[in-house]
Amino acid sequence: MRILLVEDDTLLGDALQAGLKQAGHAVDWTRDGIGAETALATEDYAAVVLDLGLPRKDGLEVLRRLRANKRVLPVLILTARDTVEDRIKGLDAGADDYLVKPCDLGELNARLRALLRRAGGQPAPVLAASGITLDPATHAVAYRGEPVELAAKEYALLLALMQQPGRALSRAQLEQHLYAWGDEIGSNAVEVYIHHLRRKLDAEAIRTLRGIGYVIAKDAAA
Amino acid sequence: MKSLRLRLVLLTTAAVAVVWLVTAVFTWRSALHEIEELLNHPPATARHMQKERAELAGEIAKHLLLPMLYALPGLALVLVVAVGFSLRPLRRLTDDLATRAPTRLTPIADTDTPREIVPLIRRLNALFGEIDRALENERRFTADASHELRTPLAALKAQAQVALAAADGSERRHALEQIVLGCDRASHLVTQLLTLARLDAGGGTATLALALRPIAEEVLAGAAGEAIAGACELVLGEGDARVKGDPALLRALLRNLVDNALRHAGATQIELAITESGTRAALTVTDNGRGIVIEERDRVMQRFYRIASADSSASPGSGLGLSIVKRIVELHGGQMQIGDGPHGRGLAVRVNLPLATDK
Repeated sequence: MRILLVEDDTLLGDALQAGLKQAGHAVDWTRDGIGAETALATEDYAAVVLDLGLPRKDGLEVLRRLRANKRVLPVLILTARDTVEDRIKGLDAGADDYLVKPCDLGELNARLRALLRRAGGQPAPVLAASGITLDPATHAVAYRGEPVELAAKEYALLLALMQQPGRALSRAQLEQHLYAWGDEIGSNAVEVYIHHLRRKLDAEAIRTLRGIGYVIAKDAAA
Repeated sequence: MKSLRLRLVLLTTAAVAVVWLVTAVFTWRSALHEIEELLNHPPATARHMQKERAELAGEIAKHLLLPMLYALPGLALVLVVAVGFSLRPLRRLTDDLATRAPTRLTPIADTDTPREIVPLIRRLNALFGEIDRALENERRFTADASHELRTPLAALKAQAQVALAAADGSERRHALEQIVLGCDRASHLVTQLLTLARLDAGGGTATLALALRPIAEEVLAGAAGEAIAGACELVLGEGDARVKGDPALLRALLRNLVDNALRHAGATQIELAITESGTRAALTVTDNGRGIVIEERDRVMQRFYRIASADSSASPGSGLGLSIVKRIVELHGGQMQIGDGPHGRGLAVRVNLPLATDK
């Protein structure tokens, strides 16, 4: 998934970007409040990891503006401000979660997974649709019970489709999920990955809706 | 009664007046009796007359003396009570102070207290205020410091976790290099924090008459390696001055100023000048770097204030350098000014220090 990371500390930002990438996300990293607002206005993110003490514009202010604009994407505050009042203020300003530095990368990723799950309307930790199961915590993918090995980008693409089964995603939307700023995008990269996925899973697993995009069928309500 | 003194004087006067009045009444009654006696039985002879006269005088003296003698213990008792009553406000103050928790530094009410202890209470309240402010500073500093220490620690932990989970060698190597950088940064921050804490604790500053030039030479020599690496020229102007101060602190002052210019200004030339004017020595560190906009010049001396850097690759400082400089200047009875560098470019930090008088 594509994540916006807002962190002014160079060293910590570098580590968080690397850590989130290791978890399979495409990460855009900006170092101040104004940069965060620009990024949020122009790109489509699955979630935001937001520091509060930012140059140029405070993180809380960015968050309030985001919510005032009726944007619903999950926001996780990651800050050194640790008092109870600060946490209350952050959550009341519209944050979905609040983590205090120094935090554990594993915990940060787990909380992000939980937020993304909820945002996709999928409370179960393991995603399942059309015979495919995908565990975001371990990146394990199986088709009809058989484990399937996927490359990082293939996994990210499948995750995006599995997050909202039954909903078609256009090629542009899928590209948004796969690539961060500065990543090289091949002209038919999405088609190539879809092709790989169909070969590894089943030609029928991912359907093409001509002119609309790609979709994984939702299981009939059990 | 607002005055302790007035209360004491009035009570004592009243007690004395009562005893005096009683004595007068007794004496009056006794004299009346004796004179009547004398009139009823006039003395027959001159000898008799003399005896009567002596007896009368003795009687009057006795009546003057006796009531006073009986009244004295009573008077003493009245005075004890009166003094105790008058000093009640003092006892109230003592009780208030005795039961106060050390952290309760609210002022003592000075209404309804005798005029004599109002100055004492005011002085105590002023002292409480000062202690409260000092404690508040301490609390804020601790909060800021913990906040500042947390971020590098968070970075170190996250980088270490990235290194552990790294899939390939170059990713792991990058994370490890970042960890080394982070350790350097954290230890710099800790050094600066300790310097500031020591300065805050006050005291322990040696005051020797010393020349500034050798200190400046030493600091510039120490910074030479970094300056060459950053293609920056260091210049020490002509001139010297002798000031009264602590050599270690003055070295820290200069090092912080030169470091700031080197690391955060992106300067290609840094000039250090020492001049004398009147009774003051002036130390000026000028650079031709980015400078600081006027609105931010006061704020940069606040603790942990950092200027948002346009150059994101620049390593952030501790945010304490100029606070340390400012504190050292204060401890030396000097002043500090931040102005424009040459031709309105860069920054000139000017520090005034009192000259040593023993020339």
